Amino acid sequence: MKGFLAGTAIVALSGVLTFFGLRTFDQSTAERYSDGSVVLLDHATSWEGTVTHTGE
Amino acid sequence: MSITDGGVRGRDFVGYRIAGAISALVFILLLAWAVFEIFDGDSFVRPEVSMQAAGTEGEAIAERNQGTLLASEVLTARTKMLDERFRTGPSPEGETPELAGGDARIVSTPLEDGTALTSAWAVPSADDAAMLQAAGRVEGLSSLPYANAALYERPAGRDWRIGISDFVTHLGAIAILGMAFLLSAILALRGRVPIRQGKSGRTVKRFGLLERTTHWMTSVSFLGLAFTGIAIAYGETLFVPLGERVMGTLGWWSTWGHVLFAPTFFLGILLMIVMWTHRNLPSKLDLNWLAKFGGMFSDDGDHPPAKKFNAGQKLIFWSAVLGGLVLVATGVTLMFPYYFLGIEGMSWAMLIHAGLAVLMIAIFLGHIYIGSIGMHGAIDAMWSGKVDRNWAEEHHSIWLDEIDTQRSPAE
Repeated sequence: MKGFLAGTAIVALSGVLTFFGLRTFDQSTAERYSDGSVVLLDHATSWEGTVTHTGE
Repeated sequence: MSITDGGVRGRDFVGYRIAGAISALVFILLLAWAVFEIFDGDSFVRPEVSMQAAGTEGEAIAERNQGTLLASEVLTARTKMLDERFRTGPSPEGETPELAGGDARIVSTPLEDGTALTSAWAVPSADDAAMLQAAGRVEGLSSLPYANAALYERPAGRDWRIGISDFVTHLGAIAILGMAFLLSAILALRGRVPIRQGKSGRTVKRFGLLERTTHWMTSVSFLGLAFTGIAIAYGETLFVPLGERVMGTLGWWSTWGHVLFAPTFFLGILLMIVMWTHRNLPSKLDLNWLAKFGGMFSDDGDHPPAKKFNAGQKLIFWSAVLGGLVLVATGVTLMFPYYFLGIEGMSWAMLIHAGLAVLMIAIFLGHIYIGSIGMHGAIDAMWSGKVDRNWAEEHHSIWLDEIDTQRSPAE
């Protein structure tokens, strides 16, 4: 029982830390305008020939 | 439970067997549904409307412009406009693309059976496939308003979609439900694996606190990953019927949860490698154990002798370690898109990740079963860390002897 509680507690703690850690370094890939439309950031269109992803 | 005719027998666990029979019935029905789903053509893309170019008044464009303005040209212009809007947002300066043939609009009419239109793409004939993959490259313009969806129109994207939606998910459902049915049927027919001599009341320590904490940390993480993964892979089947908001919320939290459970899963695998590898190396005893299947199906005669871990537990250990490491490796490449792999690599990573994951869920259903309801006294090893001496004697006789020999000089 002790092992189960300790293990579950570690998972919960790690989950919370990971959540806030990722949120801190999160970079948005899209923005939503007030009219509901969405803008994708850094996405090539389908007719622009070579699709490149710079990771920037 | 009677201790007549040579000790406790599996069939004496009547309540467990009834529960097993009911579960087996439920799972065979679910299994039948999963098999039916394979042949139900729902996963094929079926166009529902046809689109044609028409003049601003709706008149047929061919009459007005001698057929020079093709529907595809209008679609192309519309796609560019929509895609531009996706990229830049609403803008009063945004220009409507000009059409070569003048003003036109798209008229859509319902299509009764559009299967024929996409069958060449979904199941290409040799000629179509050759055309699609001519000279190893694909050129063309997607008319899908969301530019990234064009990925699914590439031959590789199509193969990936077939791999995920028609292969991995269907076989995964059959593997998981099939295993659940099998285990239920074993419980119904055979009952629990008993402690033949009954519990002695005297215990022996089997796992320390660090070992148990590691086990539960990994297993809670695995369960979290399994449930969120199932929600991601099977959400359309399981949750969309409950409403699109349910799917939206569950999908959002499942993608987050799938990432949040990952670090402790990885940590647990590493700790288990350090703690248990030396006790899980194969030995000659394992062959004997496997030949008798651990004595699992018979209450007559002794269980094959084993050290701390028997062959079954070793297989579970190596499944967890090797399978877990591959899942972590492929999962990390998917958590950071385009960082380690390109689109083709990520497609493969996702197929491997999903295929291995459903297999692991099926395998670990077996582990969870035998560690809890399947075997009397087994759960104590990981719950309190102490097992009954009679249990240890029947299942891990060599290990018990080792413990007793180590103890006796000190006593």
